[in-house]
Amino acid sequence: MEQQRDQWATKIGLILAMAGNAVGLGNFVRFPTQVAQNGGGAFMVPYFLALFFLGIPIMWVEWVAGRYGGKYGHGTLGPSYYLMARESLKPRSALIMGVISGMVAFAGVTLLNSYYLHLIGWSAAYTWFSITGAYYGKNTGQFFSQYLSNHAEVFLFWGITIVTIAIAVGRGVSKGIEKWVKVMMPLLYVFAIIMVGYVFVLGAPINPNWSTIDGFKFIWTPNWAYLKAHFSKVLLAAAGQIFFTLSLGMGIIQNYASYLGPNDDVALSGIATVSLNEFAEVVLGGSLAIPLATAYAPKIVPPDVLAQGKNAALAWIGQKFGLGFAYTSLPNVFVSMGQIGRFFGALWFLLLWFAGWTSAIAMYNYLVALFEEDLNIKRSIGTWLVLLIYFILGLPVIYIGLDKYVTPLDNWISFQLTLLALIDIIVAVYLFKPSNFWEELHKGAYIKVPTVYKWITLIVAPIFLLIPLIGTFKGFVSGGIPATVGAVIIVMFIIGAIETYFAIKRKYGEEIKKNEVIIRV
Amino acid sequence: MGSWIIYMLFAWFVIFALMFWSIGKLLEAEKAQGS
Repeated sequence: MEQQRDQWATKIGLILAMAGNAVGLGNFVRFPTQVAQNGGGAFMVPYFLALFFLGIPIMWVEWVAGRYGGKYGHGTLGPSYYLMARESLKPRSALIMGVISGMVAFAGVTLLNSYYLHLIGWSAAYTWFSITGAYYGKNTGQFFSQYLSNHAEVFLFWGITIVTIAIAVGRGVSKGIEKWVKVMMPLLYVFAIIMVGYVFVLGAPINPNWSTIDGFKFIWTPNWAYLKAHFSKVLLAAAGQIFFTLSLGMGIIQNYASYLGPNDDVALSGIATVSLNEFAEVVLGGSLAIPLATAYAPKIVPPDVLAQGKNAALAWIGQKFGLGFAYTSLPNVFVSMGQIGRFFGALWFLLLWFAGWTSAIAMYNYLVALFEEDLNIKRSIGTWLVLLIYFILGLPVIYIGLDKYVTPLDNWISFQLTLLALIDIIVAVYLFKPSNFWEELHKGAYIKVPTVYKWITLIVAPIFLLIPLIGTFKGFVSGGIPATVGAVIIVMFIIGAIETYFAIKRKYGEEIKKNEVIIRV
Repeated sequence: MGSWIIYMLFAWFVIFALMFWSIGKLLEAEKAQGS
């Protein structure tokens, strides 16, 4: 049963590839939006708790699961989790766990991409708008709203994005793209560092009472009152952001790790991946959009909201523009540079487009692998099938819009990523057996993971995951999700369940029929 | 100076420390394996 699969030549190459995949619009676009929507400093407290009590241990769980699945020739979640669940359950019961896991992963990747690809399209559009100076001399909030209402324009930039991704995946040009990543990603980091320096010294460009430093205060002053009042919601948003940004809870990390050798390190590699991404998110992503939105709020926010103070103004931008938060605040800094800002703006949004584009390729590859590895469908056909799914799922984003579609779906994604993280622990730790998990984690490990992390993974993390899941579930089912969004979610769950069921049955049909384990590596 | 700047610098320090430690150790281990 064991298949010969490619393996990573060097560990550092794998880490950079994973970090390249993880660094994207989650850091520079979604993170500041979540901070603004969830009370600034109120969000950062559970965010850091989630990083150390969920992000790091679940990163290890997913690396272990991916490497284990890879031993059997699997790079997708359903069959891998069937195998892990089989350690405690009979094959027929393990099939149920495999189907649930694969279903949630499939729905997660497809639903997330239905709007993530639009964010990449927005970045392409803003590259063009920077070149032409389209947002110069305008209210950047109104400009963004006008752009979204121009459906043909949104469609064009989104279309260019998804078609170029499909072509890149279809032609298998990943190696060529990796060469570009090696140039563009460091350039993005350097440019972002320079921008952060500029933001720190920018001060108050419009109104002396509204400076970039106030934005830093908003992020870094713990807001206990807000956290107490919106506990479950903020906790879910923080956990969801950790999973979104680290590409956890969707099967992508398992897919990467499936190409590891059976004795390759996962313990230190997991921490390296987390820390590289957190640098991009907290140090860089956290120092751009929010401080700039604060400094330029008098230009974007209505006077009656401005009068309520900075927290209210930032919350207003976060609610009004949702994931467009960074697109309403960042252009102002380029305008402040004068005409040369058009060049820097174009370069910035182009780099952002590229970062998102490469992340989307990783997710696209995962879906193609589902069809290719699991269902034996030709790669070229699989590529077109994924393009078709993306196209259908992306249309409501254009025609229904931010308020009624994107924002509720994005909130649901936080829930769903958190749910899959819980399934990760149930299957890849408890059903796989905690002693097996701990032993696998240390196979070929460059470090000894402190034993306290075993207990964090076994006890603290599941409780941490359950609190926001239980606390927000009622809100989702009692009208928190518009009917269209709910229908799309259900359809993707059904397709994911069917796909995974047949994938597992195709490879392990005989042992499921006999209900006893036959295949072992 | 507000306490916010201390929180921010502390968080940045933890992330930097984690990043340099893990990447450094990884490179060290790869070097040792290669030789």
